Amino acid sequence: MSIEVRNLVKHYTPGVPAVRGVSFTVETGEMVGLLGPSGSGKTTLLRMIAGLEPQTAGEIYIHGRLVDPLPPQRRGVGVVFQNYALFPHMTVFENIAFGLRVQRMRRAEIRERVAELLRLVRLSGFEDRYPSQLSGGQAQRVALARALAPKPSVLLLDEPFAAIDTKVRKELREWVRRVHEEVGITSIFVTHDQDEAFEVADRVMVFHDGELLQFGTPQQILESPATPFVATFVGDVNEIERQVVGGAVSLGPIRLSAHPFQDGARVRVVIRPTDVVVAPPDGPPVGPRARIRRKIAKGPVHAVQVELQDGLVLRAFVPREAQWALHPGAPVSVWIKDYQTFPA
Amino acid sequence: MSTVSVLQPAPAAPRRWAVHASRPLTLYLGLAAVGSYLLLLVVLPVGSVIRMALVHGWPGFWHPLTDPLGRAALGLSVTAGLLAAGINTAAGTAVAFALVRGRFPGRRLLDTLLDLPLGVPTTVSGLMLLLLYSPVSPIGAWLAARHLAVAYAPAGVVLAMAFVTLPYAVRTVQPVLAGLDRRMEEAAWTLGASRWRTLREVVLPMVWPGIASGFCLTFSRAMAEFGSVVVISGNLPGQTLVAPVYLYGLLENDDPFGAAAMSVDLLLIALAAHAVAAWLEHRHAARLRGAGAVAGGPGQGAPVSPTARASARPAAGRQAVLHAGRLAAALARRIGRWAAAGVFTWVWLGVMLLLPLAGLISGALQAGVAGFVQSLAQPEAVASLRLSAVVTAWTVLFNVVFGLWTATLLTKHRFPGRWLVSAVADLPFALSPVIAGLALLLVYGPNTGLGQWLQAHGIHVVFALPGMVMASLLVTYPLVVRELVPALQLTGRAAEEAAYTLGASRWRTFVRVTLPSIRWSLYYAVVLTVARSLGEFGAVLVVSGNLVGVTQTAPLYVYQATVEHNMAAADAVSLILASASFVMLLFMQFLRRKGGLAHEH
Ligand SMILES: Nc1ncnc2c1ncn2[C@@H]1O[C@H](COP(=O)(O)OP(=O)(O)OP(=O)(O)O)[C@@H](O)[C@H]1O
Ligand SMILES: [Mg+2]
Repeated sequence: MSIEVRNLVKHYTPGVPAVRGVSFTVETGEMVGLLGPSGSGKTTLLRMIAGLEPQTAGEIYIHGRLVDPLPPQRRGVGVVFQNYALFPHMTVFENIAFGLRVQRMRRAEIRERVAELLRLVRLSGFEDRYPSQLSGGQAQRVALARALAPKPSVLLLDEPFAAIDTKVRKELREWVRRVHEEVGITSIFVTHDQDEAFEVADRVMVFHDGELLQFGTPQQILESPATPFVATFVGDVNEIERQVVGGAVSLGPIRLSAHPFQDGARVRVVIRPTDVVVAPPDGPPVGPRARIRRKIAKGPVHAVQVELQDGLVLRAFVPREAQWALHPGAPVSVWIKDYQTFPA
Repeated sequence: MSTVSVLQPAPAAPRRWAVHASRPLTLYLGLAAVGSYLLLLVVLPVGSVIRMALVHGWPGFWHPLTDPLGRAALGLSVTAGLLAAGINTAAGTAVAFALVRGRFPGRRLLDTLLDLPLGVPTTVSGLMLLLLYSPVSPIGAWLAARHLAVAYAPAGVVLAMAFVTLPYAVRTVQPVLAGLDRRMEEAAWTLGASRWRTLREVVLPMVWPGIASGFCLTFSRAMAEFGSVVVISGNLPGQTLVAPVYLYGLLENDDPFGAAAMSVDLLLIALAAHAVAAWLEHRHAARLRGAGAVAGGPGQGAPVSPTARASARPAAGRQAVLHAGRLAAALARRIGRWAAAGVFTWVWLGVMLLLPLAGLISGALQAGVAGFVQSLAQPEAVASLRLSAVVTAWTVLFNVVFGLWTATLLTKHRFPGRWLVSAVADLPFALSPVIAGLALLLVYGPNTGLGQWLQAHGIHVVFALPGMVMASLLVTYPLVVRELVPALQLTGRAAEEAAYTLGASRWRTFVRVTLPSIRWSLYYAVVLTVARSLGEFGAVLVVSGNLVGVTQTAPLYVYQATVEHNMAAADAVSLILASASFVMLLFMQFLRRKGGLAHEH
């Protein structure tokens, strides 16, 4: 257990919690993605771990040691800030060497370590540039090298790729993952982008309104979201509220078991678009009749809206290979592969 | 609507558009009007000072240095100016830090009061300090017993300069600090750098050009100071006589050549200081803006090797400073950083500002309210206050019209020589008030062709109201232009162009769209003008002739009363002037907040 947080609370203004009683443990060497909507307290959590913001209550342990009384200088936590926060008056070399000079490392050693780090971030030869002469991706890598220079045991990254375009972003995140493994460090990185989190993180935390809703592997979160919020946040899911009748809820012609809810209870049914199977009208598999309303190509799938007989509209993903007539108005049959129920 | 203007800081393209949009007529009219105004107010007067200094050829520059007293005066001005600027920059940076970052009781109040020296007439400032430190006051007596004279001593000169320039250093550093990205410091902390080290290696390198440019401006202003120094220094030749006062003495003794020569020397020093400040700011802006254009260009390999940079070691001389800083940091850790900053700010501004103010108030009310009213009721006092009001009213009127006209010309039009107009409009900043007065005298005075011609036609400029208004204008005009130009730049073309497409004429657009969007800046400029021209002393002294009851403004009255040891009269009028400037100050604060909001939203 590299980072352990117990009942962490933060109020910037008394009575308005930004983080409300969060507990979790991150294992050594893990890479954790921190996912949540804007204003949910992700930055606040990171800043508290780094010691940049005092918590209102709760404890933070790093490698089993209580770090609450320690200032940011002595926590051994590296931080990559959202806008990189490179020192504009220092060259790339000086930026990376800053943390080493603070440790009073010998000059020859500093040179060696900086060169090593620049190789790691593939920026050898950029020593004498100023931050204003770097591209966004390069600046990002310098920021990473600078944070890694003093060999922190924990690395915190706050939306490290936010300012970078999608293509470079994809490369960078895979590369950050590699660096994470090479260096053997424990990392938490904040992101808005679920694909990013699921692709590179070992485990993902989902934050909402200052609360940690779920902490698990990408698979756990995708397959068994702990709350409707997690379910809706991680996928663009179908969410339908119904009353339980005869131990089941009905979505038009489709009846789904509502176990363990009692009759009369109101429940929220959450169905991921990938779990809505759309088949040709004559199957297989054969399900209730529906009609295609809209079709949008979306990466490797078609995102379609299917309208059930009573007017209920479900979103579904259909693999591109499905070559049969998916044009709007086409009759199809629909079948629900998996779903979840939550109290309404 | 202002959102639009902020989001569209008129780039190059709309500017070019302006050439087509501007009918040449408005441009030519504006050029003619602003050009003649600047010619009469700035170019001719300053030109005649230079011409007068050079009547005997180039050695004119050296003339003041050939007189031991002149040499001493110039030396004192420069030394005391540097000292005052140094003290103010050091303390001012700390105060700016505390005001920007700190949270302590009275922060807003101190932030407001800080501008007081801008509004208080300089003679009143001198009087305040004199009341506090003269040998007959308790503090003065205490100091005198320890041979630490302030009044009538060089220390008084430095103190007076430091007092009047107190706001400059703080106000130049404050925005720089406020704009500093906190994450830069936080990054340094997470890399293990102590707060002191972060301050030294991360914060200071980023803000020092702002601090240094503040130093230059403070120095230039301190060196030009006349009114307060004349009151507190005693003007002992060779000891406490500063260059502007020396210059004034030469003028009184009918030596316009000597006065002009000294003026040119002072002007050159001030211009050099301004040039350095402008250069520093330009360089700073260029670096922090990010040399995006250079990125990726060939030959980026900088010539300095990383080892050479890393080996830059603090010189031995800096060790003492570093040590002192470390001590201060340790002290601050003890009592809490912001508590320490708050205490420092209170103590510094308390000694520099609040104490003199308290001295003035207690002095004015020494003889009770009845005595105060009686002092005020003197016919000369009433006449001087009335005259000040009249001069100020005219000054405001001309400043609004020509200030707006100049600023519009500079921002909404492009024409060859635009930089020249801008530079000339800025020039009076570098003028000591006495020099401004001298300059007007050399054009419109009784000994010049133009002056005699005007007199023959019954137009009295010098030693009369028009000259006094001109003197006030010369001193306040650049303030107005500097305030209005950025405001007009912010009102992007978008709203104006929208108005044009809706069929509004240029004039209607200006009145209905442009003016309303810069109104807070305009009000601010007016308040600034009122404060400065109510208190203007040096320039008015020279051109007015200081005829009691005729051309004696309130600051002149205060000066005369002080010289004649009529302290009750001096105190009473001073208190009125100080109260007026205090009201102005509250206005300024209010307007700044309003204006700030308008810029943000
Ligand atoms: N310095 C501060 N003072 C007061 N409130 C703050 C401060 N910083 C953050 N907050 C509040 O705390 C809450 C959490 O903010 P935080 O910055 O942690 O969110 P976030 O999850 O990082 O959001 P984003 O994804 O937009 O960066 C928000 O409601 C925010 O308004
Ligand atoms: Mg954030």
